Amino acid sequence: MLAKTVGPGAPQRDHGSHAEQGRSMLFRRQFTSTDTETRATLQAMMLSLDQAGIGAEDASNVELILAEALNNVAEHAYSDGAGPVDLLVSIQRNGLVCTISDRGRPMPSGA
Amino acid sequence: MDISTSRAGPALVITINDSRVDAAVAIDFKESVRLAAEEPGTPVILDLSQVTFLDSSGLGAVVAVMKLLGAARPLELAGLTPPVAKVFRLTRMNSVFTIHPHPPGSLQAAG
Repeated sequence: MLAKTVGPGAPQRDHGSHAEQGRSMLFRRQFTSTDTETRATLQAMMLSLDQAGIGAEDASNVELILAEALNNVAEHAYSDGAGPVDLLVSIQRNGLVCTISDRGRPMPSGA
Repeated sequence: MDISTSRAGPALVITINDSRVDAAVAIDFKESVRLAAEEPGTPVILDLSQVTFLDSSGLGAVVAVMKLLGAARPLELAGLTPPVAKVFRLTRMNSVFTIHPHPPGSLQAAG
């Protein structure tokens, strides 16, 4: 599984091309990086994973990983105040691809 | 946060009646459990059998409560659901806490 946070200045991804790459979008939500919106987003995502037939153990692993990444966005990228976040979860042949985009401060290492 | 307390012999049992201990409620959790622990009893057993999601914020709150209570009133855990048990295992916090498979007074604990 891939989880990537894209900072400011990064090229915007063309989400519409996923199907052509053998991926199909399972869940997408644009929200504000508050604790309560992050929670609501994760709960909605878990419903989508369940409806897609993803097992409970795999789904809870995805939820924990994304919760930690999204908490980091809120805590570090947007430490001066909440901002927009885009979470995209796509399914492909050998796993899930999760993309988190934000417009907050970049990683200290420049990653 | 919805919390209830009961006694099991010398122990004080604090039951969390919510399904998530995450960044949205970590501060409330810590304060609510601290207040609940003002009732007498030792050890203090935290019944997490209704909690199906706990992230690093929630883990930090549990550890903070353990430190607040101090060595004279050890904090023990009971009834960890699989996703919650995994967080304690991954972070090796399962070696810090005494963990009971079932909360005291439950049918499983009695059997």
